[in-house]
Amino acid sequence: MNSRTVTDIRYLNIYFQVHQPRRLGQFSFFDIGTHRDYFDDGMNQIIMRRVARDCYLPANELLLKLISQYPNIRITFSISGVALKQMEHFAPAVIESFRKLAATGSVSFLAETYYHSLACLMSPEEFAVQVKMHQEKVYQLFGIYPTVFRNTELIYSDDIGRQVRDLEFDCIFADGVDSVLAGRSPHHLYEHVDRNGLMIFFRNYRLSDDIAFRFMQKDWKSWPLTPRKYVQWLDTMPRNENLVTLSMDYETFGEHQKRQDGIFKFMEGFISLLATSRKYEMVTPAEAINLMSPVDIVTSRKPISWADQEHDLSAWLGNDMQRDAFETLKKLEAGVQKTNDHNLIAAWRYLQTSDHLYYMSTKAGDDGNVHNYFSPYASPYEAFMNFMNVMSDLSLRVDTGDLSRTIKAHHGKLKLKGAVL
Amino acid sequence: MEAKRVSGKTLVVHVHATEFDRGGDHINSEIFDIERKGMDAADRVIAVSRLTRDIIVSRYQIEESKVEVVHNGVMVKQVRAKDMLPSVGGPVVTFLGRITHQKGPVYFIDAAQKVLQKFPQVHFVMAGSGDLLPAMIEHAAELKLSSHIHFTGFLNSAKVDQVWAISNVYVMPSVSEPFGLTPLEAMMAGVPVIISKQSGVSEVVNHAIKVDFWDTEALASAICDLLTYNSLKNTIKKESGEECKRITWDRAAKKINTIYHELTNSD
Repeated sequence: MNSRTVTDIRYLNIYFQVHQPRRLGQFSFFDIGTHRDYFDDGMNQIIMRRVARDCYLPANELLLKLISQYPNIRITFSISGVALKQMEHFAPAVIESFRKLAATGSVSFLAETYYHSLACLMSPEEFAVQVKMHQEKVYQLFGIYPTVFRNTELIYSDDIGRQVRDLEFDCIFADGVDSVLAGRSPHHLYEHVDRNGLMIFFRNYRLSDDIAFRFMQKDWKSWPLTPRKYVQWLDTMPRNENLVTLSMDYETFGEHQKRQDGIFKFMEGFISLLATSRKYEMVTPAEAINLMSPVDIVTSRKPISWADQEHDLSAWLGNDMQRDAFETLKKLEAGVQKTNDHNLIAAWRYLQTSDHLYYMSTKAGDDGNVHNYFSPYASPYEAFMNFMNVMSDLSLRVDTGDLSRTIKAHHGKLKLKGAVL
Repeated sequence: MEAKRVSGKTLVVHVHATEFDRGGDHINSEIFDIERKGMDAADRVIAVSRLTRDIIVSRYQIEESKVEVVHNGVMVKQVRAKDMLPSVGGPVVTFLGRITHQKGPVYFIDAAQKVLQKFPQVHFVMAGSGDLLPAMIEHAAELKLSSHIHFTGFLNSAKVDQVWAISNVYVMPSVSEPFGLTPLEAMMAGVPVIISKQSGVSEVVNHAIKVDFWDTEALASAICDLLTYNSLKNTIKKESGEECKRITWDRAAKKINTIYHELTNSD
């Protein structure tokens, strides 16, 4: 049989998240009111360059090679504005290699909040501003204006869906959380509960986490994971389930999982298998919504996300400290905006990056270990104290009208130290 | 050692403190020699923390493979509510322990000075006695802080409970602390704790603020943060109250039991 019908084909929607927060420097209680810099861009530079060397550059190069071999490959990226800005300053070669990927026509880019923030929970106005900023940044760098949305860490609810629809997006990513799918398969296209034309892609989190987390776990029953084994799992899905969404941190390749553990070989093998298979076709989200219709509507009154076992907001707002920090950010909105001071507003937005709240989590167990892995602090208490001291400084500035004479909200030019990369 | 020689039985030495903890760099070499001979002769040395094990290995040159770590535990107890509480009219930050070089009392006073510049209404309690008590009283007077630093002398356990009941923060700035049980008692009494990283207890406690003993600015900053941000205080209280219940003597006893079994079975 040479001719294949649509039902024979299973579509694969693969998206990688690229993000680096702008980490804070040490800020003690006694620094409040002293006009010290908030951000440790020396550390941010070191980390960005390390991840560029170990992950972004080699992974992009591998994808470029594969795409030149198989032009039918489709990969989607979401790169936070905070990461893009740091790449421009600290690792411009990464921007260049993403440009090359964009030029192949095989790669698409998603929109998100520029600051990788929880602005969706702050105010619709602030959310809209950050999304627009991100769209423009992606267009400026890659010449592609993103029209598909993914929210920070796939945070989604009916209400967030409405905000996103109001910004004229026609699709969004969400995590395939069991409680929301309520027994239905994540392998279809769904629509917002209002039937407002917002299509939803549900990530298969088990299959995604097999690569993102379990790949290197030697005590996992499926270790070692090979591309063939993985594709066999896809093969065994019911035939009518025709859209599989896989997504994970791009840093999975070479940063979270190391080259010597074979993660690049896996990626190469997996994508090559898909590209040469008659059963699978890789698609961008925009292609997918042209190819299929939603099978049902879904509702999620409470926000869901791809973080932690709870798949809710508890990774960022799970304890009193996190909620206090977020409320403090929120309360500052009107005051900060009123100053009309660009640097001050930018600093406040950099502080909204969800990672700052993520570091304050007091969860134990496996989730706690993941929080610790990402955190530059020794404990959630240090993360909170440091953040709140900065916030206190910022609100003092807002209150006293002591604006940005010395605040460095945007990256200054840093001297390049030869030994870093 | 004599018993081991006569009976040929296995010797296990438990180390709860070393001369280096007590004396810093000014150690008494006779005591050092006795400690070292004891550990040399032992078939197994059980240290109360990794900090102590590191001292045993690096300073006493004991073979690393025979030194095991068994952390202390804490007895679960209810701190009785006090009806007659002394009132000082402001938040209370407490130091409770022997006032000796090892416990780092001078760092507590230096941090107090910094905190008082921001919060003049805070009071500091130094509970305990020791050879540095007179020097500390003088130091506080010199800094003109005597009206805000209160020296109580040695306290019995009922008085200690009273101190917990009025404390907003407990600080243990020890220079070298093999373990340090007092922070666990404070946690059990619902008092948020700040401990030095140079303490054995910091190896088993997650829900405390940890600073280097010499970093009085970080210590003072943490005290100010605890007094400023209620959510910080509340989260630490809640989490540490749970955590200290898991650090039990039972756990320590089980581990020691296992070590004893290994030793006697391999004979």
